[in-house]
Amino acid sequence: MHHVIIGNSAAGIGAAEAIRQIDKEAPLTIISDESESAYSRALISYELAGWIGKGNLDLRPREFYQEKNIAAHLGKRAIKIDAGKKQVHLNDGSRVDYDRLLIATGGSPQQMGVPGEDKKGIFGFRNYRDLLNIYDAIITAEHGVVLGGGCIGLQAASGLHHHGVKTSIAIASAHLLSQVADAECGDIYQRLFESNGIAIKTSMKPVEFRGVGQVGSIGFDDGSEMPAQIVISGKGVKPNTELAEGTKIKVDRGIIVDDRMCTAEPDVFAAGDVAVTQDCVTCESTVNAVWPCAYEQGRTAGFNMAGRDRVYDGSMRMNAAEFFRVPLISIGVVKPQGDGYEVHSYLDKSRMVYWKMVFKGKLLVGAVLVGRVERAGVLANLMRKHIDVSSIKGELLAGRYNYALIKPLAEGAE
Amino acid sequence: MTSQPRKIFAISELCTACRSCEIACAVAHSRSASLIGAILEVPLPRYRIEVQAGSTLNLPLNCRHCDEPECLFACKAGAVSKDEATGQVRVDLEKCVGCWMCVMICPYGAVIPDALIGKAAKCDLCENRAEGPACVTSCLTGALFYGTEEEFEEYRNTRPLLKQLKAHR
Repeated sequence: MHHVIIGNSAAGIGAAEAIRQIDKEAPLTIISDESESAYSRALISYELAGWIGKGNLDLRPREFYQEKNIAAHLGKRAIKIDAGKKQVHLNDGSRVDYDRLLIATGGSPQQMGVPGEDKKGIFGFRNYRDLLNIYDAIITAEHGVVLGGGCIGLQAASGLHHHGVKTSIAIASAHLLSQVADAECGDIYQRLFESNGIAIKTSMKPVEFRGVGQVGSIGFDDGSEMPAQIVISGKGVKPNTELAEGTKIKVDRGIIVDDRMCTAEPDVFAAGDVAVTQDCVTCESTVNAVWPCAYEQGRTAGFNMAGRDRVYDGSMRMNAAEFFRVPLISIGVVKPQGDGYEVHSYLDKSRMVYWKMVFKGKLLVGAVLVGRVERAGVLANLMRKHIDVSSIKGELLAGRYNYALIKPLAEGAE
Repeated sequence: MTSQPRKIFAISELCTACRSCEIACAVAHSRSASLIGAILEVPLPRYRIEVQAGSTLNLPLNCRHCDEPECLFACKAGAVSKDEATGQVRVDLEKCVGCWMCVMICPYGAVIPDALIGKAAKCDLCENRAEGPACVTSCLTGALFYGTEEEFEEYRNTRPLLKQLKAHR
């Protein structure tokens, strides 16, 4: 049984570790278009911001492949799946046979669709290559603009700022973190970033990147212009679904999988930022492109590939981050739309403490925690297991939640 | 896994919420390893066991060193590992970046965001302490136990205090 994994990040490694947990011997191959040994994409922002030393991004020790008896084809891109012959075609002309295949190709930054976006000095912020390019550009850049106010955008801005670049964030939405949390949370971080010397411009879209060859400024839809020798696009990612072409694999935004992470093509699985899964809080099919979900999906796929039946209990919208020492955790439905939701919140602007809880009927369905994030996992646990919280609502709202409080309920739910 | 892993177990009924374990834990994780010294340290050492009070029980809670450690799965820094021989789940503080993924995912809320150092703090079973876990040795009522699951069952079944409590009820 030859297992082949395309992708070398959270989902791919999650699958490889699951397969090796069950089967130490079966041939296992990892293919990645990046030449680095497994590293954490999510750490490039921490490296740029000086939190960790350069090149310290290893997700697993370099000996990982050897220790786990994995054949690693790094720096090679999978370009086609021939499901009939059960082969993966690589860009160097070689072919890899598989018995079970996992597509864990992740996502790529969305194009902005703005004229001039191919100019020098404009970067995505997704992989190690982007980071190295940004280091080069920082040397000469005086002004930097980050387009996008999500976690990646904010981390990129902190990083540029750390390197002495005069940094601004320009976003199309009315507040920061609009996909991650709510307006109150966005406002807290806006004031925090501004007080640290990073300008924030809201409700404006770029219409043109100006400059000859190298970007020099950005024109916006309100007629304004911002100088920028370096631009980082913090826009979201879109799933890398190209390999599904010419196969029976169904794609709707991402690759459609069943609850064992198997695609419509037998013996072909998908996991991570490329896969559409059911959100266990909202019950909607969606791409929850976050690290913990990617690993768990990879792990589920890996078990099923290796013959141990494992059902994925669904993804969750969740984010954890910290900016200028103020932590943020956001889980589940945090901007409820429609009827039937009950929202409670608490805001202490001066201490930068904010929390919000969203209930639907007897269930907790969402939470935002800013400033104090202790025991957030207990809340996630309540949401994941659909635990009736009506008897402990008072304690939840008073912030007195811990495992002792939910233990009788959680054990009853199992 | 070759043998049953040794973990810290709690008997909720015996916990009086005196919080001796919390103090002992903080001292054990201080640089000076003494109570007075620990109190004077900057940053203050963080305890990794918490006596939690529920509506019906006191629960001294620390890392469960799970067989399926979600903190390890969620760690995007590759800082969490599980020792296959001992079952221990470790955080490498050199690698931890304080992203709080583990805090968000641990169903027990047992990974503590240590704001003073910006890194995750959790039970390390006092692996470098000759006497074993400080919380266990400090517990005045025997509510905490360090050993294998089997050993714990035996320990639990032979607690005279627990028998008295049951008879009392």
